[in-house]
Amino acid sequence: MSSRKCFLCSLAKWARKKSVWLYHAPAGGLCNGCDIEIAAAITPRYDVERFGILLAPSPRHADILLIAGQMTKHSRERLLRVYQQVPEPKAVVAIGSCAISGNVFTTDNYPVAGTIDQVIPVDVYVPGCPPKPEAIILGVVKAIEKLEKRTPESI
Amino acid sequence: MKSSIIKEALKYFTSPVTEAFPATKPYFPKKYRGPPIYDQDKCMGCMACAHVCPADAITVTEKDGKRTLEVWYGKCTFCARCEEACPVDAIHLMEEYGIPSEDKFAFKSTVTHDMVKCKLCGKPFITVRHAEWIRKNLIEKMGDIVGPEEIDFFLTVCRECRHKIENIPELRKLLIRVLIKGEKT
Repeated sequence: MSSRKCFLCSLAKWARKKSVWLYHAPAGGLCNGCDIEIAAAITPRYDVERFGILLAPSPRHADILLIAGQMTKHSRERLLRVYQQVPEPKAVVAIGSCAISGNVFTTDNYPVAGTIDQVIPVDVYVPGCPPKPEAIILGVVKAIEKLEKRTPESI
Repeated sequence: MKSSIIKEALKYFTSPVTEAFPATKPYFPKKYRGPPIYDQDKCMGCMACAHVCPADAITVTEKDGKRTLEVWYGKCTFCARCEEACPVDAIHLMEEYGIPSEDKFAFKSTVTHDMVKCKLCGKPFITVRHAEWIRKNLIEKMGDIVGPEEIDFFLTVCRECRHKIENIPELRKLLIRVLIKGEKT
């Protein structure tokens, strides 16, 4: 039975691809530039809702986790908890130079606990300081492709 | 300023605000700062960009007599300090946005240069193009004080060898001549 494709799974796969919900988690040390660009991506000018992309109010409702900013020692535990709350299958997008490498804050600064990919697995990196909303949309589209692969085809 | 705002506001009554993003080209404002890119033909490998970079996004590696400059967009702040500091305009910021990728080391721009070896110790210390540029500028600006042999000495002997005890008198003579000229002017 396990090798056969089940109808409910393919339905869930289609639904998930059709409407992806995001949870935006700022990871402590950041200048809020990337947060503002994420907010700009859901404004009428870019209007990601035409792709079914929506910001979810809780990580428990989300499929993709958007993480912006450098991870601090205080935010490390919270970030892990947020990641664990996102239901499977899930994908993580790191937004901005701070999330990728630490940018000007570096990784050996005293309040900083390393880069994000040292704690949780990151699927897509979006470079920029801050990245343009177009780049964020492209990054989410790449994450959707990964999400599709991770969706189980049978129970 | 005001008329342009009104014009843009009126535009929204005629056509939809939403950009059909994947189909249309994105809008880049004036003085937009995108990822920096090197020009291999113009760059001379002087490392001025690496010195001023506030985030240390530009790294310099010297290996097998070649110097490689590499700017990694994953660490770049897009502040355009490198563009300001470059004496030959070899690095400029593109009108583009960073393309997302699964590999964080995928986004970068590199440039490679051959280096000159020191006449005394055989260690590579300066790029060929940088030496040419220095020679041209020295002859232009200080040709009356510094002779061509001295210029050759500076551009073929590395700093460590130049600062050795047997080479100090030569340097001292030159320094005195430069100081005298400075006093006159």
